[in-house]
Amino acid sequence: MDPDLLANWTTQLRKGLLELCVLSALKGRRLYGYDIVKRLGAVGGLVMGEGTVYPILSRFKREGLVETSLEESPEGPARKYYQLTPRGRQMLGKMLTVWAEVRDGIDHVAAELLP
Amino acid sequence: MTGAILMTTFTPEAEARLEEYLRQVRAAVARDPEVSPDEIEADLREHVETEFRSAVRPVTLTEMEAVLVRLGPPENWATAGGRSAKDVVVGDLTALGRWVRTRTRGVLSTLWRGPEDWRLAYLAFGLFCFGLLTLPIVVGVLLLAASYVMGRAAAELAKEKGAPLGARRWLVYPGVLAVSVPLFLAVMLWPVSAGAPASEFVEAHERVARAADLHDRGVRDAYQPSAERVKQARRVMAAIPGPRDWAEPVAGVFAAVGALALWWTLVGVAMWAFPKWPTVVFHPLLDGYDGWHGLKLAAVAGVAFLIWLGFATRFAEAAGLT
Repeated sequence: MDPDLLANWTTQLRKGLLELCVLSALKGRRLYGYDIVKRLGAVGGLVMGEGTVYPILSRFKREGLVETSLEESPEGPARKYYQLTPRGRQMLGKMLTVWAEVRDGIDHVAAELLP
Repeated sequence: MTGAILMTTFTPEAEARLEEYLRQVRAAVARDPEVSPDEIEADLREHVETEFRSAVRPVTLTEMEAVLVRLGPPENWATAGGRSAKDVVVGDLTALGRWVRTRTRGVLSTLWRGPEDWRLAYLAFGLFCFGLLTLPIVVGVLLLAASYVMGRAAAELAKEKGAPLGARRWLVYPGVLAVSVPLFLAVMLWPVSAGAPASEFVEAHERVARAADLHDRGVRDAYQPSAERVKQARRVMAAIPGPRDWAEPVAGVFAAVGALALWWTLVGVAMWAFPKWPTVVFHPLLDGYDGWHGLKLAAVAGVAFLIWLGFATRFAEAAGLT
């Protein structure tokens, strides 16, 4: 495979999965940006630059999938916490459904093609 | 937002590097209308501060660089955050322009330096395109004719080399078909025009018959059809089957069928006698033709003509035309 093509494909794959993981990380809890970045950064191969998470959070906020709240921190200035909105929870549910279908489909194909 | 709100103390170099990085971030995400640069900058400042929460003060440039490296190059973020519709359009147009330039260079290179059969194919297609564009003015017809000749030459060359036209047929056939299809239709269907005089013949008799049927004496006298003409006209109209209003089209179709049957009989015989010329003149329409096709056409058309002749004779007798 052409290196540019592979790089582009990998970027697109990671982009979609990272968005799913950002919403998943916020499922049932609220986290501040740094915490989200570090949690997702621990997933191997998912986050190639920690900074890529922040534009996603910004876009999700603009689309009404997440909302923010400021909270005082004993260790410094107030922290901005992210949490899912009802719309974000709905979107996460749909994305997880699609992901399960894709994953099962790929597993099925792999089981047929791979020895 | 500025670095002043940060509680962490940086060396001047580290702070300058951070500001430079944030400037790059703003520039990178500015292309994405779905994100807020202010919000992202605030998040990043919070991120950096949290990273150095327990660091020794002041934070050095090396330490700052390590954090910024982990954050990643901002120029990749626009892709990570999604491209704007404008970026998508611009990107697609750029790719299209690149493709067009590459193809144009390829075509020109083939035209000037490529193998002859490809050169002829491109020339045939180019002439065909220009011919279509200039068809409203007479020059278009000449260009189409030239495209036909070039296309035929390309096909012959490929044949001589024993190689099929392959992909070149998409360049060659448009110009060839633009000429051979109309030519084929004209050669095979021109006798249809025989229907027009037949219709006019019936129309003339119809006019006489109707005038004689008129109760308005003034009009009838003004038209003045002779008794013999009226009688003849009425016999002709009575000999044509079907409603009287349909007499003209029925006569036209009948005459056209007869003319076609006779012509196709002659053409079939000619094609059987000279089996090479149909494939030469009507390439590629009749590439699979052999002499027997001509004979079959002549036989079927001949039988049809004989049947037609029988009906025509009966009509002529009934109409008193014999």
